[in-house]
Parts: sequence; structure tokens; C-alpha cells
Amino acid sequence: MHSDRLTRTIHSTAFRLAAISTSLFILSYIVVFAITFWVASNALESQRRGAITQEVATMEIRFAHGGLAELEQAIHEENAASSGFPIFALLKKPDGSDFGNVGPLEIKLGWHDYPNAEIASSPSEDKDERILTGFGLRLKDGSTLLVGFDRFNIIETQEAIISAFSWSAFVMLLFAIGVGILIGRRAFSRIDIFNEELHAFAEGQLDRRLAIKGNEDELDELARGVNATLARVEQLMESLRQVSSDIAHDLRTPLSRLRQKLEEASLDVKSPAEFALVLDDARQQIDEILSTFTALLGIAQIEAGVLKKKFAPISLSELCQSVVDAYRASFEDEGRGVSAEIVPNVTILGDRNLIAQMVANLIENVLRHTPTGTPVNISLVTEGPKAVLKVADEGLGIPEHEREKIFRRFYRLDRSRTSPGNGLGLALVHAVANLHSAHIEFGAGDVGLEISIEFPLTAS
Amino acid sequence: MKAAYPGEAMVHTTDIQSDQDARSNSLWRSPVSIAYDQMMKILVVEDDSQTSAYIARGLREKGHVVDLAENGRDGLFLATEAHHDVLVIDRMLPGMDGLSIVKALRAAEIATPVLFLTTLGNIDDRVEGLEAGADDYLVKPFAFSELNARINALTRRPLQNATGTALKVGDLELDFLKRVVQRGGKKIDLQPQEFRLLEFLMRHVDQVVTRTMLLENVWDFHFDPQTNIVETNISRLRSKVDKGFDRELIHTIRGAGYALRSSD
Repeated sequence: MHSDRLTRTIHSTAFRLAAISTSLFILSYIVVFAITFWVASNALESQRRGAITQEVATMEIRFAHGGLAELEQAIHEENAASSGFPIFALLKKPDGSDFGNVGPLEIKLGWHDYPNAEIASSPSEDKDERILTGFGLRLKDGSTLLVGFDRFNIIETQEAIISAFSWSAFVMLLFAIGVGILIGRRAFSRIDIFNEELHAFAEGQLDRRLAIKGNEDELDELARGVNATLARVEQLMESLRQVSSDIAHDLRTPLSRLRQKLEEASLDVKSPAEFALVLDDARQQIDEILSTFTALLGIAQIEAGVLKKKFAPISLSELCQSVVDAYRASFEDEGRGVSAEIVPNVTILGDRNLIAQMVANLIENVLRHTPTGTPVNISLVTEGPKAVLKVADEGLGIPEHEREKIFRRFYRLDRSRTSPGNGLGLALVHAVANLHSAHIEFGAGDVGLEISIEFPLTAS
Repeated sequence: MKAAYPGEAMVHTTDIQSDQDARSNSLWRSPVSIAYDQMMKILVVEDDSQTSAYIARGLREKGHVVDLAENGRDGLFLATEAHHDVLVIDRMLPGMDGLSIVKALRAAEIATPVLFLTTLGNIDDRVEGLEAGADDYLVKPFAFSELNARINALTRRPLQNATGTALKVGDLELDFLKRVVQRGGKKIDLQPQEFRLLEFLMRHVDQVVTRTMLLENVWDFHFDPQTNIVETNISRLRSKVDKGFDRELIHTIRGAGYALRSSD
């Protein structure tokens, strides 16, 4: 499990990005190091060589003045009072004897390095590091003089630079890898959680959603997108489930009833005339079942939301007016008063046909479920960014706890069980309102039922 | 589609109709038929043989000549090769769908009226069909009387009763520009909806118009309201147009719809 996680972490995008940026950083770090190394070594070296050149000049002058004795004195003095860094000298006299603080060696003319030179005072204990860099010259009397410095200081400085740079590079590398793993792990821990949620969703827990941390990173963005998709899927599944169970429960009953009737008829019916009556009756029932079926499919189709792409600006005012006019005669025939206060020029974005059906269903709901003579009030007004369509009656109303339920398919109040209608009218109202992002509100009044549909107005 | 039409028959593509003879007598017989149906040549393009047999039988009993095609290609071929008065075309067809047939016909400047049959009452289908060049649409399952009424309404015969801006049926006169209606010289006051209703009936004089046709054309309702809007308004119109006159103009055709008759 652990090594598996590590492999996954190493393969993660975050880790790869961390690795790439670290590598790039180390590369530039090496370049910086090389430059620093080169500049520092050079500066040190030229400073030392400058001092040696000066020393050689001094010694030459003293030799010119006082011969070998004076030169030996100069070497001795220099040796004693070395300022800044020790200066080493070796004088090979014409008689073959040496004088100076360097062990015997072959003096070459000009600048040379002398590895393994015996430098008495060198602080280095490693013999290999005892390199003498010196300038050799031949004096007039044939003796040779070598003046130089111990390279050890330069090497030491160089080593110090190298070690400082390597250590910090090492620490940085560790740090980068650590951060990479940490970031990768963090991403993975969220992705693991995402995966768990998605698996749970796939297994049927449709309320599962991805957690959003709120730091607006790309995972939050992804989570939002996925959540929107999941919500949509849940909605579609729910509507599918609902339709299936509705069909199972509410279409089975009339079908079984019909079957019963036909069976009875096959036993009881004697004359062709009677048979024709049974057929007529059966056909009527089938028509009703079919129309219920069509209505159910219509609601499912609306809930699927695909009609949204066909939305166009429609005049809600004209539409409401024409629907109200269509029902005016029906109201008058039942002795109901109709008051319609419709503000002109209210335009919304929507589907004309569906909204006409919605308004019609709201009005029919009043016609069907309130006693004859009950007046109805219809109004359309704008309230800020909303167009509010209100259909109110002065009938018996609906108890508050039942109000939300009236939008369910086939839901009926107990007292309405026997009135005609397929129980889908308000379910369609609900579906159409949702499709148009409209809110449904109930009026607070005690008298009758007041349903408001609040459409968002088109920005114009 | 409601209980108001006891004589109405419905058909569905997947319906099982075994014993056609047993019910045939009551199905096509008189209440639906009206004397003014002209003889027409009608092409039915429908892949479901049961549905096409049902349509063909009904139309033949009305005295029409019916050609049948089972797929889109044959349908298009027949529609282009022979003259027909009306084409009845199913939306979903093997080979070539109904929409493509209509587009092809219209592109070839064949203007034969087309009635689409669609399976779902999808508003998209209706608009798409009409945009492609169809003249009317009907959602399955439908009653034969509905189909018959719509086919009759589609035939492009010149309005015999129109003079200038007025429609005339017997002693009833409707001026659709001045928006004035009079019968026997007596002015009749109509509500705007009643006026539109009467105008539609007069434009389809001596034809059966169904409740659905009226809902669509007079009220622009493309759904099935559960309230008897049509019945209510027809009875109001009747009381204004026919009441007090010897001869009734507006007739109820049982199981089919209504008709404004020029003569008894």
C-alpha cells in the first residue's frame, strides 16, 4: 500500500512539476556555482601572484645591492615577517647549497606549480595538497631563486565553496523532493476522496458530492464541474425513477380495471349492441390512459431540460391575456368572477407553448378544485428583476403541510380524489417553472390558494 | 382525446388490433362521414403496416384512393412520380426520414400538402416539421376522425365563399377586415375569440373541424386542456349565430368535431 502510494505520488503531476522545476533550479545553481568558483579562484590567485612578483622585484634589488648575503637576509626577513600569507623562497647558490624555507627541488624558470614541495609551515597535513606555486629566476651570479606561495589556501577556499554549494544543493534537493511528495500526496488524498465519492455515486448513493475546499484551486474547479454533472445526473435519474414508479403505480390500476371489465364483458355480454357499448367504454378508458401517458412523457421531457435551447423572448403579458380569455367563458358559465390584472409588455425568455400550458393548468386547477361560483384572481406584475404571475382563488385552500406536495405527480388531496383530471396538471406547472428557472411561491393569506410563479426577467 | 367523443377511435403503432371486422361497422360509419368530402388521391408513407392498413382502410371507406409506401425512398419516389392531393408521412421511417422527404419535395418545388405523423407530442418535432415544409402534423396515437378532418382541411381548394374581405355562408356574412358579422342583415356582436372561431369555421365551410384543430388554430393551444374550452365557446357562438334562425349553421359531428354547413 505504502510503496504503491509512493509510486503513484512519483507519477503524479504535482510531483513531476516539482521535479522538473527542481532540476531546472539545480542546473542554474550549478552555473552560478561555476562562475563563483572561477571568479573567486582567479581573484585569489592573481592577488597572490601579484604579491610574489613584488617580492621577487624587492629581492632582485637587494641582491643587486648586497649580493647573496643581502638576498639571504631578505629571504630570512620575509620568512619571519610574512604579512597576510606566508611567502616561501628557495635560493640555489652557485656552489650547489640551498637557502630558504622550502625543501630541495628543481627550480624552473617562470611560473610553475611544484607538487609535493616540502613547505615547512604549511597548515595542511595532507602531502598531496602541498603545492607550491612559485616564480623561478636566474640571478646574475648563476644562482637560481624561487619565490612562491602555498596553494593550500586557494584549494581550501575552493573546497569551501564547493562544499557550501553542494550542501545547499543537497538540502534544496531534499526540500524540493519533500515538497513535491507532500503536494502530490495532498492532491492524491483529495483525488482519493473524489474517487470514493464517485464510486459511492456510481453504486447508487446519488446524494454524494465532491468536497470543495474553497481555495479555488484547479481541484476545486474540477469538483464544481463534477458536482454540477452529478446533480444533473441525480435529477435525471430521479425523474426517470419517478416516471417509472408513476407508470407502475398509476397506469397499472386503470389498466387492470379495464382488463377486468373486458373479462366480465366476455362473460356477460349477449347482444352486439351491448358489445358495442362495452367497446366504446373501453376505448374511452384507453384514451384516458394514453393521455395520462402522454402527459407523463411530456413532463419527463420538460424535466430533461433539452427544450431550454429553444427558448425565445415571449410576451408573457399577451400570453397570459390570451389564456385567460380562452377560459373566460368557462368561468362565466360557472358563475365565477374573473379578475385579471395584467401589466403590458412583460417579456421573458422561454417556451411559448409550455408557458401557455402552465397558465392554463393553473387556471384549470382553480376550475376543477374550487366550488362553482368561486372567483379567481389572476395577475401579472413585475417586481424588480422578476415577473410575477399570480393565480389566486377564494376556495378552501390547501393546508400548509400539503402545499409542496401538490406538485408531485398524481398527488391529490383527499377531498379531490373523485374530481376529474389526471393529477398531472400541477406537476407540469412545477416542471415548466423549473425549466424556466422560475420560483413557485404560495400566498400567505388564509383564504383560498394563491400560487405565484416568479420568472426571471430577461435583461434588456 | 377526451370522453366527449365516444365514437372516437385511437391508433397506436404498437397496438394490438386483432379482430378488425368485429368493430369495423361502428368505426367508419356515418357519424364521422360528411357528405362534402371530395374524392382525393392520398399517399401514405408509413412503415408500420398495421397503422398504414388502418389509415388506408379508413380513407378508402371515405372514397379516397390511397397509395402506400413502407419506406422513405419509395415514398419520395411515389410522391414525385405521381400526382397526389395530400401526402401523409410518418416522421420516423427506414431509409429516409419524413423530414428529408419533405425537404426533398419542397426543393423540387412539389407543393403537395403534407401531413406529418409524429410519435411523441414533442413541440420540437412540430416546429421542425413545419419549418421543413410540412403543412400540418398529427401526434400518434390519433383518432381516425382527427386524421380525416385534417386531410380534408389540407386540400387546397379555392375558397368558394370569399368575396373581397368577406366570407359568406348562406345568409351569414363575416368581414374579416372590418371585423363585422351579420346574419340575414342583422348585426351580431362577437367576442374576439368567438370571431376567430367563426372565421375558422367559415374558412373550412362544409368540412369537419376537430376540437384539436380549433384549439391549435383559434387559441394557439398545442396541448390538451382538460376543460371544455371549445365546447363552451361553440355553444356561445351558436347562441349568437343560430339562435332565432330557422336553419342551424353550426353542427356537431358526433365523435369528430364541428362543421359549418352551407346547406342541409
